[in-house]
Amino acid sequence: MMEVDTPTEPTNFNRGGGGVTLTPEASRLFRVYKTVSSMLTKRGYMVSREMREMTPMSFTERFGEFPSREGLTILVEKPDDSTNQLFVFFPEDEKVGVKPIKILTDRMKDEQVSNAILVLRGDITPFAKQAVMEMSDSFRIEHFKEPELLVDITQHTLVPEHLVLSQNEKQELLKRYRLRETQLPRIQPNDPVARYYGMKRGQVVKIIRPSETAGRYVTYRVCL
Amino acid sequence: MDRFARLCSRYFGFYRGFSIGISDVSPSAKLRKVKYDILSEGYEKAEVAIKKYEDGTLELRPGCDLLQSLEEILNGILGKLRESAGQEAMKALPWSNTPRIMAECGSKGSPLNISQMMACVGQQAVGGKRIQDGFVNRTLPHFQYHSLIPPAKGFVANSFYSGLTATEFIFHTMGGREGLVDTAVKTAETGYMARRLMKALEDLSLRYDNSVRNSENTVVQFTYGDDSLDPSKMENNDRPVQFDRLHLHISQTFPCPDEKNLYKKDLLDKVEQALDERFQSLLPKGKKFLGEIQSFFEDIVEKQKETIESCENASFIQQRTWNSCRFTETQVDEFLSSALTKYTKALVEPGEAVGAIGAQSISEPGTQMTLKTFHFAGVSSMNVTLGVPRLKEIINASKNISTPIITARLVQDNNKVGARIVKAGIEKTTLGEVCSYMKEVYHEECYLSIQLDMEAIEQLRLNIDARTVRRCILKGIRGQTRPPILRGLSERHVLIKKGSKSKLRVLVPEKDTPAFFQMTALKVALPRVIVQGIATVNRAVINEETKGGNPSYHLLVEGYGLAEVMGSPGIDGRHTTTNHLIEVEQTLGVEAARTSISSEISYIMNAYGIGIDTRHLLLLSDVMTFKGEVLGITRFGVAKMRESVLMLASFEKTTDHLFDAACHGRTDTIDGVSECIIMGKAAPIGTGMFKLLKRATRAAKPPVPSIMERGLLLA
Repeated sequence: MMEVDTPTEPTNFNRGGGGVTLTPEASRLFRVYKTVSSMLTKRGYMVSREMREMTPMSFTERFGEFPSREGLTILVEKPDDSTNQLFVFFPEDEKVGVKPIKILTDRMKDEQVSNAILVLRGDITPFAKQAVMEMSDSFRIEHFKEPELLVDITQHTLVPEHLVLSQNEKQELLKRYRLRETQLPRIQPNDPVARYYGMKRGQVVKIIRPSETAGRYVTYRVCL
Repeated sequence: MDRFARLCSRYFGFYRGFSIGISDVSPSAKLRKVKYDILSEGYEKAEVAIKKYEDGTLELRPGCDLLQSLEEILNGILGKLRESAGQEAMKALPWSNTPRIMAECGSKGSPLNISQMMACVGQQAVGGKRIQDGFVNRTLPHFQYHSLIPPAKGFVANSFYSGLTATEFIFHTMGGREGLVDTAVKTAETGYMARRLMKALEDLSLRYDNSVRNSENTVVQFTYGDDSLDPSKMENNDRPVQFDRLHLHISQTFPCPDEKNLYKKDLLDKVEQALDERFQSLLPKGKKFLGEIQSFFEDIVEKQKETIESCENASFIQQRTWNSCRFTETQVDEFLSSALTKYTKALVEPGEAVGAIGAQSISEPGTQMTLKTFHFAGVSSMNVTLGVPRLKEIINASKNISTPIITARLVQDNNKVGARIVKAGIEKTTLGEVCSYMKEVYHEECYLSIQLDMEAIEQLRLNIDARTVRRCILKGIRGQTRPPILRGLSERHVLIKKGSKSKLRVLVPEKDTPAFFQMTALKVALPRVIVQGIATVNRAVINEETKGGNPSYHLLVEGYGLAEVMGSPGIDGRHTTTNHLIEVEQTLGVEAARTSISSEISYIMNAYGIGIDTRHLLLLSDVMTFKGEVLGITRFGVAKMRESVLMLASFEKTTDHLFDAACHGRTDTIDGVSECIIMGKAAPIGTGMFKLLKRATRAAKPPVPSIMERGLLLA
């Protein structure tokens, strides 16, 4: 009389908007995918138009009603430098261990890609985190949790516009104010916005925010 | 002057002064009658509400239980009682009544004090509630057990004139005591806050490149207050020029009767041209100022249009526009150059100790905030802490705040049913709340049989069935520690009845402990399993607003978990904010936290009718975030902001800092204010900021007079 549950059957849940009905899982993935594509665009990677303007409809068309995370993998490159490529992986596991990461890095090695973003369902094991840290010389692997990417935080009303400065612009700024790098206001490398832009230590971000007193105000923060 | 002052007081004393006596506050028989009517009507209403409460037919307020709803209703009724009785009293007084003169001219007292003397003292409160029970199930032995009627819960119907009854008197002392304790505690608390603020901000000064830096030369703001204007020189509402007043001044000092009035396009063109020629140097900081000038002249043009249209006779136009919207060419020139002078004069000067000024400007109004009054965030049941306790939370950057509230915008904000669905997805629902029974079964196997109450689930618009429940029992919600008995369950222990969506079995795991004990533990743990919603959220309330005639809904969520709420389906994550700073920092970054700090502080201050110049708040929020994380103005935060040992030692934990510095052989460059004071140097702030170098040319040695000349040796 009793059976063990098999978690394949979908439960339909109307999100109450948009007209298109996605399963909760698919709608979650769609939102994450959408944020990832806008993140890549803002980081200056070439992102196809289809990806940038994806609707729930086209998402189901392309990835099916029950999209597999494997199929979502993205590979993008910078417009000026085709060797500067980046992978976005969506590992299936709830908790990503060393082994799946090993497989992914092997793939990166094969295709000679040095950057990657992991979009995690749940969490990453401490060992895996350590492994990623150790590899940071040859591979730069960032990891985001899925819940963090449900909403594009740079679109949030409280978050002003951030622009990452080039090395030249940074030197010019330091010269203008006669500053050492450490004398700039800071932003932490693990700050949500800094992670969104994939900022490295020493990079400077220009922040343009609306101001109550001046209308518009420009400030800078260095990632330290 | 001194004699004149004395003369004044003598004059007032003899001819114009007054005192007040009992006759000034004696209510007339008519007033007594009116008061009696008002009170008895109110008491009746209260009785009806209490009756409804006892029968259980009282309508629930959103987010409240039955007793809370009753208290809220009674609070409203009784508050109105005192108010209307007071109004009647004020109405009854003649204009010559002395207490009334005092209240109306603002020398001392308020209508509240008068109405308390004449009509009704009103409801007494302790801790924001009616007087709570001090005896077994009642406030005082004079009343019945569980009595909720107004007099039994601290409503003082008498006035100070008519005299309080014994019970009223004791309630009044209880309320009065809280007020006294509150002021005593608040002075100490605000004093400490002022000291900490001063320590954190003391060394900030404006430099010659217009940036605000601390003594370590680290930039805190690139431009002071975003526009480098001096808050003390603001004319109007934090803005440098009050245009209406300036217009009046110019039209009086330069009447220019022979010139022609400029209309519409001519005026705007003239202004445009002048702005382009003379005001461009103010950009980019003065962008808003230029906008203000333009919109002022646009208003003038609008006014001209209205005036002309309302004139039937063309000859009146000149007359009508004269004082309200006349602007000749000279006047425009004078107006603009005067505005420009005012703006340039209002710029802060290099060296200004903007930090110290800011610290004082924030902490001084803080001392004026009395009583920790609660405030309602839209819905009456959602209280927000305000006053000094809230200010303390923000300035300390506390991780745990007393009333965390997330304001969430909905994707579809015009649909109440939709709002309910979204709310159900956020508010936590436990298994115990949605199951109709949970039976122990001892038959061959031992297991718990659970039946979900599908009807209730449907009604509450939850998204729960046996499958989701099974997953929740097995996996739990992230970030929550689950009871050990649940962690011992594995896939095969939780079964779903074939073909059913609402029936589950939970088998007892095989362990050394007897099955019965495990069963008991399961029975305790299972009803608490959260089957839907966010674990850190306490409750959510739908708040209704009317926007342009149409109702619009948003959610107020009490609790933590901004990231989860933002990600919930149906929520517009981009417009969802919280009053919890640390959470903003963690999910949206420092910049967002910076914005929140200043807006939260100004929200508190506005609730008390205190206006603080935004530039001070911006400076404070920049100081709290310039290290990349939100630092509280506490000993831990200040230690991260500054390096100087002497400064830190003069703040708190003196020995620790000195000992540590001695151990590591630290150097202190002595450029901060505290260090300089300790060492007796001039502080490098204000006029002490720069040093003068003088080219030293060696002076010729003064001739040494001979002994004879000095007259030491007698010849």
